[in-house]
This record gives sequence, structure tokens and C-alpha cells, in this order.
Amino acid sequence: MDMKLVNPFIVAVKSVLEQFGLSDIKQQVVQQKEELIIKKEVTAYIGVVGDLQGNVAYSYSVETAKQLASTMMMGMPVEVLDEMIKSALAELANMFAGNSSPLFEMQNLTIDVTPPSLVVGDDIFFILSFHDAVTVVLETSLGEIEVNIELEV
Amino acid sequence: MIKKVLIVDDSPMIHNMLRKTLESNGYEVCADAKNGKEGVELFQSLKPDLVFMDITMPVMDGLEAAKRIKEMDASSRVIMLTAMGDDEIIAQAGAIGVDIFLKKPFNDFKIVSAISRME
Amino acid sequence: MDSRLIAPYINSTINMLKDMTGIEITSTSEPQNDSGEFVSQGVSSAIAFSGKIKGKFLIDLSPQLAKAVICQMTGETMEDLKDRLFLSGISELNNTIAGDANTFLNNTYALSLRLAPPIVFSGSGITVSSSNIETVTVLCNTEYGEMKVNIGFQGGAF
Repeated sequence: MDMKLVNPFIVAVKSVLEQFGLSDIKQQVVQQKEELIIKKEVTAYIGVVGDLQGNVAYSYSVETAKQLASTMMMGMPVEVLDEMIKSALAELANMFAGNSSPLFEMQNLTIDVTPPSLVVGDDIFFILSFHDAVTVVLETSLGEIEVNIELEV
Repeated sequence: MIKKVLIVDDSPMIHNMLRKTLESNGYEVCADAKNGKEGVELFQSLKPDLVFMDITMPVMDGLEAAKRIKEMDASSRVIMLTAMGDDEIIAQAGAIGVDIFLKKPFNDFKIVSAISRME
Repeated sequence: MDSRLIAPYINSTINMLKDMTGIEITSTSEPQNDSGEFVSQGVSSAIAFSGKIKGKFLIDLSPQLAKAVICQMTGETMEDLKDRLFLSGISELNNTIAGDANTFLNNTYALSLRLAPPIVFSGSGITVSSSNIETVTVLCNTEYGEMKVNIGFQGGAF
């Protein structure tokens, strides 16, 4: 996959997290995968439509998800992934994906996003794509954020 | 005489089932392409007698791939095999020059009769 | 949610399941508005689409029903719910149902809906939530167990 299509999603995640005060974000790995299988426990996925079509999934461990939600809510402690927290995580995915839109506009690509869904389970085998997809692992002080991208042009 | 077939679809299950149908009816699947771009490349290198093309695929969709194949070789035979079959998309496929438009799900009879219409 | 959007999905679920696997849906429940959160029975596939309005469609099956679907579809018995071909079959069922429903909606209401590639997952104790969209769930009964279908739409009037 062309990295020009991947970078806006990564830049958007970093800039949203920076707004929440998380700035030390390292891009650890970029994998061009034959098949994109997600094993992390929490995934917020969002459909992309328009000039690009596909799915973007943001995946984390339960611990990282709780900490991300806590950060979104000014440090309020999060013990359990209840409905309110899940809604916040879905909204976070919406912000991640939505913020990539202006970056795509700069490439003359207009995208829109479909409503996010959150999938949570500790025994999960999730296939985002049977082919041609990319996983970028971002290391943050709250843990790993996996950005999984499957797109058609 | 149609013998060599190229299948272009991102679904492993479609490749599995369509291959079974084709092979049991005496056709030879020369390659499996998983997106439109691969489909165009394999068409160029293998020159199949017939192409089965899905629409919704990553990297390059089926309508774009079919268009390129028809531009490369106007005598190529392309059958669209897709879940979407509305009038607008059928018209788009027709404008590109696709030979036959088949809506999924398929069965042996649909596939074999479509191929014989192309002979 | 506009009821004109629900019926085509139920009809397509019944017809495509029968066409692809021979499995009959013997009864369906009334559409239930839900909070958008449910526990997967074990095998689920979701697909999004967009045109004049946006939406998503999800099918949820028990392992027993999923295995029956794949067995009828391929003529082979497959036990591994994490098998690539197995999950591809479930995602293809989803794709075909949504494609058939969207074909009807496009031809009837000119919605120009186009499908994105589906996602599919399996496992246990998995919950799916879609809090920011209005959805309905319909339970479809078969001899192998229940298939849940969940339909959600967002967007203007048509």
C-alpha cells in the first residue's frame, strides 16, 4: 500500500493525542501484511468512503483503552469498560479518522467516514482484510496503539 | 474456444468455490488475482480466454480493472461477478464494455451458461 | 428508523441464505430498536456502505450455525472458526446479502449505495457496540440456531 495513503491516518492520531497532552509517540513498526488479523482486545473500526474505500481499525489492549479514555476525560480514573467509556472510545476513533480527512484533501482525495463500531473481547480473531493491508504500531506512554488500514482506491 | 480463466476477487471463498465450479466443468483456472491491479497485470502476462471480475476490491476496483483490460484488448472476455446488481452499476459496466454481468450468488448452472454464451 | 430500509435487508437475508446454503429462515422477530450493543454469538461479519445515506449491516451467528452455513456453501466440513477460508465464507454471505438489499434500495429509491469490503471476526465473549448510530436488530430462526441481523442508517431523508 502506498504510504501516502497511510501517513494521514498516523499524523491524525498523533495530532489528536497531542491535544490530549500525549506527545511522546514513537512509530515502531510498519508492516505490509498479506492478511490483516487483529488480536488486541479492543478495536474501534470505522469505514472510509469516497475517493478511498475501506476500513481503518484502531486497536489496543484493555489497559491502554482504559488509559486513553481516562486521558480523554481529564484524568478521571477508568476501572471498567462500561457503555460510557465505550462511547468515548468510539468518539476517539471518530476523531482519529475525521482528522485525517483534511490531510487527504491536500492530496485531492475526498473521504468521509462511517459511524464507528467498537469490538471488545479477550478471545478474538478479527480479520480486517484478506489482503493488502498495513499495520502501524505507535508506542505511547499509555501503551501500544495499532493502526490497521485496509483501503481501495 | 474458452479454456483458460482468470479469477479476480478479494474473497478467498469466491476463489475456492468458483475454481471448483470451473474445474469440474473442464475449464482451467490460470491464476487468482486478489485485486484489480493484480488482475490487470495477470491478464497482461497470462492472456486468459476469460476473466471473472468482482467489483468491490482493494487497491483498484473491478470496474476500473475491467476498463483497462478492455482498453488493452477489445476482444477480451470479461464477466463481472458481484454482489451489487443495481441498474446504475450495470449501466456503468456496460459502458466499459463488460460482456456479461452476473449478480452473486452464483451456481454451476449460471456460470456454465454464461461461459457458453460467450463462445 | 425508516421502515423502508429494514424490510429489504430481511428479505435479502432470507433469500440469499437460502440461495447460497439451502438453509431456511423459519421465522423472524419484529425489528427491535437497540442501544447498539450486543454480545456476539461467536461469529460475526459487518459491512458499511455509503451513497445518499450511510449505513452498516451486521450478521451474527452461533458457531453451530456458522459451521452449517460453510458446510452447505462449500460441501466440506470445517471446524476451525479461525480458519481463513471459513471466515471468508461468512464475510461473503454478508457481502451477498448486503449487496442484494442495496441493489433493491438503489433501484427503488436511487440511493447509489456502494459497499466497502466487509470485516469478520470470531471468538468468545465479544461485544460489539455502535453507540453513535440508530440501529435495529432482527432475530432470524433456522434449524441450526439463530442468526441476528443488525441494521443501522445515518443520513438525510430520501
